[in-house]
Amino acid sequence: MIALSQGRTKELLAIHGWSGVLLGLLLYAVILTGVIAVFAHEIGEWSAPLPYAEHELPQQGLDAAMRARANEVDPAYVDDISFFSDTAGRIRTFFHTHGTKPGESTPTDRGVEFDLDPRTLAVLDRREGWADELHEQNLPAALADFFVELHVSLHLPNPWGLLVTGILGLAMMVASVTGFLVHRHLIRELFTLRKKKDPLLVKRDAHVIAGTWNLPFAFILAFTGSYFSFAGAFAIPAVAMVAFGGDQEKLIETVVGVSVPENKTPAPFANLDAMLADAKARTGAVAGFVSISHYGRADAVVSLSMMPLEGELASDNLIYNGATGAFVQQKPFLGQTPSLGNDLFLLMTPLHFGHFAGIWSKAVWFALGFAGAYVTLTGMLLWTTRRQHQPGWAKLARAAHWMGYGLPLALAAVPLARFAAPLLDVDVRAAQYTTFIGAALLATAIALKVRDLDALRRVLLAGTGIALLLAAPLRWLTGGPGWITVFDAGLATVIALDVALLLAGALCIAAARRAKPATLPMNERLPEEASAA
Amino acid sequence: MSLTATAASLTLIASALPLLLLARRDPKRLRSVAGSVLAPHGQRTRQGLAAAALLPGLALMVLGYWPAFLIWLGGITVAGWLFAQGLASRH
Repeated sequence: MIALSQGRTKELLAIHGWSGVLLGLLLYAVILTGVIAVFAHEIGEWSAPLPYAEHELPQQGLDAAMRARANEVDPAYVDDISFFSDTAGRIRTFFHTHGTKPGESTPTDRGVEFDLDPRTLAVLDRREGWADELHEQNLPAALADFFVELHVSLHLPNPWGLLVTGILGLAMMVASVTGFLVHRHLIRELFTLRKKKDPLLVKRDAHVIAGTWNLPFAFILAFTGSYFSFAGAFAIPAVAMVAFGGDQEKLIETVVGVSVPENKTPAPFANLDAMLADAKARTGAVAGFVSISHYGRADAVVSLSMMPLEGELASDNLIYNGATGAFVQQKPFLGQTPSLGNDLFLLMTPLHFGHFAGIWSKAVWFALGFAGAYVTLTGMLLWTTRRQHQPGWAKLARAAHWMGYGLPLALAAVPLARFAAPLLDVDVRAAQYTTFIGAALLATAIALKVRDLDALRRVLLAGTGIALLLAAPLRWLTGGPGWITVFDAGLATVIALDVALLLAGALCIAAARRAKPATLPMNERLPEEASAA
Repeated sequence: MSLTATAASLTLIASALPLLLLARRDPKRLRSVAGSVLAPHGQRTRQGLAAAALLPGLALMVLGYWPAFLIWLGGITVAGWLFAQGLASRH
């Protein structure tokens, strides 16, 4: 317990509540979509499964595949080449150069993107254009991308989306710290959840207990999330403006890249497979991301980002001379020499994404994110519903219910669009957006029509349950493989997600059948408020 | 099962048991439950159980198994929350 004066407690409680209410609606959206985004790869595999489970970049055969593709694209596009295993399990290969799109000022990438089969390295799909156009054409990753982008930027244009999510991360940190400070009996009440008391205490306890247990990770996830948002929205453009005349590519090349004197002399490219084998022999790890600069030139550079070894959080980054195939150096991701900044930077990714130990760490991060969403929702409902008889607060309480239970409905409707769109011959990504907006509008209409807040909760939960229950059958009915097929193929993820969605749907329906008091007594004080009075 | 998953699972189980015992006879929790026949733990017992719950995580830290430690830390916080929810719903 931290001793605070009554005045200070009152101030902190006000900051905690108001920061939660003012930004809580959007914060809840970011956290909830973050919970889903933890399983982006699994969602990709579930929505567009290959005939087998393959999640790694092949370490042999890439050389031949790269040369074959390099021969068929515009020579300008071999300036930069990258390979990685994407969310849908395809090997995404991007041959590109940098330029400025007509009518825009920020440089971007333009080139040809191939989806390669991870086993045979045969071309599954070919897309050509500017980076944003390629993204729009990518069908296998469409569903996973929808959730990830909603989490990262709320589908707002750059840099506004990143700025908003960065600010929301800061709000989450403020709420975590103030919640920690105002809660007077943090350790003593770790297990105290009074279920048979009045509704106000029951809701307060549910919020406080989940918040207390989730406190360390709420802070970590908020901090790392803010870091990623602000780095993209503000830090990189600002540093580029100050030090590189606004050239962000130059900045990234300087900070992350390798300094090699320019030499445009044509030179044959060394064997990529041999470099991958050498990197594995040096580190014991396999490469997860391959980047090649200036293919076919004397100054060609190959950068191999290795996967973390068993028991490690961070990974190595190896540099090779592309013309000779010789190993050059093991380079930090940031800068040219090892530094504390680089070590901290390397920690940010596993701490935020939770993918450092496969499904085990993802499952824990999912649970932590779910607890975070629960804390945000219960906090908003607690703060607004007990004030709903005061002028203006009734609308906020309704808005909290609308977002709290309407957003899951809108999100649950998106996979239905993903599977139905190809049958109806409409653009998948457009169908996903339209369905999401449509379901959100439907939730709005229901929120305006149903006066009783608990009835509103139950209707929206029932809708979410129905949408979740429909997802797996629709996947199968629209041509997706059945359980026997995916079991034989070793695609356990598909079965696991089908079962998880069916269970989640059933739980939503069950929760919708339970009535709860939605109005909280106004004349009673919460323990924190009593101590602050 | 990988070494990380094995280490995380074993330490989580080793920590969850004392945590559950701690939660079950937590004095403040029992005071809020009308008609409970369980006697609350004394202070020394509580401290011992808390230490036993934290010890596996400490071992992972000392051994430098950081991925397993993070899974353990996240898992134990989720377990604590679920124990509080589960024990409350029984009354």
